[in-house]
Amino acid sequence: MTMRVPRHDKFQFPGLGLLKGLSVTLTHFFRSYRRQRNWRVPGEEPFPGGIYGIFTHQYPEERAPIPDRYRGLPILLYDDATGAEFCTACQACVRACPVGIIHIEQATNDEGKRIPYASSYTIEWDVCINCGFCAAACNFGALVLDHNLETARYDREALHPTKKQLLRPASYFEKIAPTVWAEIREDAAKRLAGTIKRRPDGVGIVPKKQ
Amino acid sequence: MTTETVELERIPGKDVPVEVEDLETEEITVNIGPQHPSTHGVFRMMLRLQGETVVNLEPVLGYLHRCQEKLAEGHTYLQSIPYTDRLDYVCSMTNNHAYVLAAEKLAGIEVPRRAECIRVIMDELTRVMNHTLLVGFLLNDMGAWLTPVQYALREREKILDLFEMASGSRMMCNYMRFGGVAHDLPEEFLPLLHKVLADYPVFLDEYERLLTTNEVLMSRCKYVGILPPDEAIAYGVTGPVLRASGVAYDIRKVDRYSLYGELDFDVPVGTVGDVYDRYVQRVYEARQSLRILEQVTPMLQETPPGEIMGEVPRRFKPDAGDAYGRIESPKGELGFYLISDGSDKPYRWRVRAPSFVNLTPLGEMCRGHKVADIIIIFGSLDVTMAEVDR
Repeated sequence: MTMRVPRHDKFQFPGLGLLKGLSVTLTHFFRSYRRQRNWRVPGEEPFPGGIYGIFTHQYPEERAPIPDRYRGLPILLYDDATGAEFCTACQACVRACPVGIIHIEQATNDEGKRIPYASSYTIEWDVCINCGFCAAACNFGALVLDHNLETARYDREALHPTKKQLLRPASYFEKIAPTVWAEIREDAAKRLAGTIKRRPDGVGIVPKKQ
Repeated sequence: MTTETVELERIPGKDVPVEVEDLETEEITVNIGPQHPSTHGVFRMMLRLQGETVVNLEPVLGYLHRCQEKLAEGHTYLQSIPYTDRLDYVCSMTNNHAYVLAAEKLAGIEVPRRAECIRVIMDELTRVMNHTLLVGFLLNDMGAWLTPVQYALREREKILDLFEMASGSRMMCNYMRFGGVAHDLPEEFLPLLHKVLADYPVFLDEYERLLTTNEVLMSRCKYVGILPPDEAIAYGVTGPVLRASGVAYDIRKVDRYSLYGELDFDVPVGTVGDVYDRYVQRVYEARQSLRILEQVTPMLQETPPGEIMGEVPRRFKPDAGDAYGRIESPKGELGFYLISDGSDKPYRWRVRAPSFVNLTPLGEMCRGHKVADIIIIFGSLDVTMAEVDR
């Protein structure tokens, strides 16, 4: 239950502890010549050789695979075949965002009636905290989180992308995160079952040509 | 509450007044910080020095205040979870757990067993990671530049990879939700976890061979910054710092929250309560965490996959009332006190931060020691300034 930690108060030959420590660093010095990389390098065994060998990798040349679940910056998706956007300007992401950086304007048709289409969509990427609540709130699979790590820009305006800059084809996301995309599709189909029955021409992830 | 106090050896020299050198000099005031590499954040210590000996130390806080408690009052309960990640950025998983536990108490939500297993796994991985990292940085403070901390960072990297796989982020995990966790574990998680569990004891043994009996470390750490158990209790210190002082008080044993009632693990306690005890205690606690992880993984495999969320209303709106949820975070007792007025936003969102409370006896512990000792005493307390100021 309770256990006393040792104090190592016993006499020890002076310098022995130091030598023991140096033996560890020396072992690592020699073992570092064995080229063993960590699991993040594609095609290699996970954590090879336990705690020995080189663990880092050369960044621009060697890129670590990013897990499917990775939460990067939010992007919007459109359908490859029709080019229709999945976003219906329902404002669910706006309400979910803890920092309030998503701004949507809903489009109106010729009669002035609101239609499920965003006329403008802006995300302030520089303030984004990558929490992923927007993607979780989206009912239509329209907003997902990108896997791009290189987000540095030269000016601040480039970090306030417009809808045109945010849009990516759905196949792009399917390629980078297949399991997450399958989950989103399944989830959206379940949630929108009733709506799809009522509106067979499509809504959200079942796209409708604008 | 079962708290057993182990009787302490009386240390000669602790009770004597501040030793003043033969040649008495004028007292001077020196500021360490707020921008100082060994203060682990932005923290200022106002020292009164007699020669090289510390006569008085006054901690000055508030340089990292981000108004988190007030911010949370303007957000819904769910939206505050990412903010808890940023309290103690080293252990975001345990911060999530403490907050989620308080909110579940407030709303009376039950958590499925699989989610509890995942939570315990994440908590213990965080603890292992935090303790290794702390020992690395403690050695950094002591002057062993980079080698120990590099070994520690390498091991932490594996655990961060596991976190990234499960939650999507390495440090700001935002993984736990009211009633469960955000996602189920991916398929490749458990094999890698077993790999980490197999390697970690080897690493800890090697780490101990490198450090524990090192003469320099022993002479720097032993009988430095002693915190007797009565003083530790009086200051409200919790976590490894309290246990290193000889008080076997662990909230995992006392509250038995989550699955900790079913798990078998020991509470390592120190003898003297100095920096050396705090170091060895943490290494032993990391070993106990590995023991817990080995017990939890079979429990997780028994539960049906996918059952990770309990019955939670779509709109989280607890009835008016208050709740206090606390867990044993790697730094001590982390508690969240929530007051609800019946709306979807908390009326009050209060954090009982272990780092802040553990920092209070710093002045008492440093009195009579040399300036170089202050840095390692401060380092051994395991303080994250982001959690102190909130």
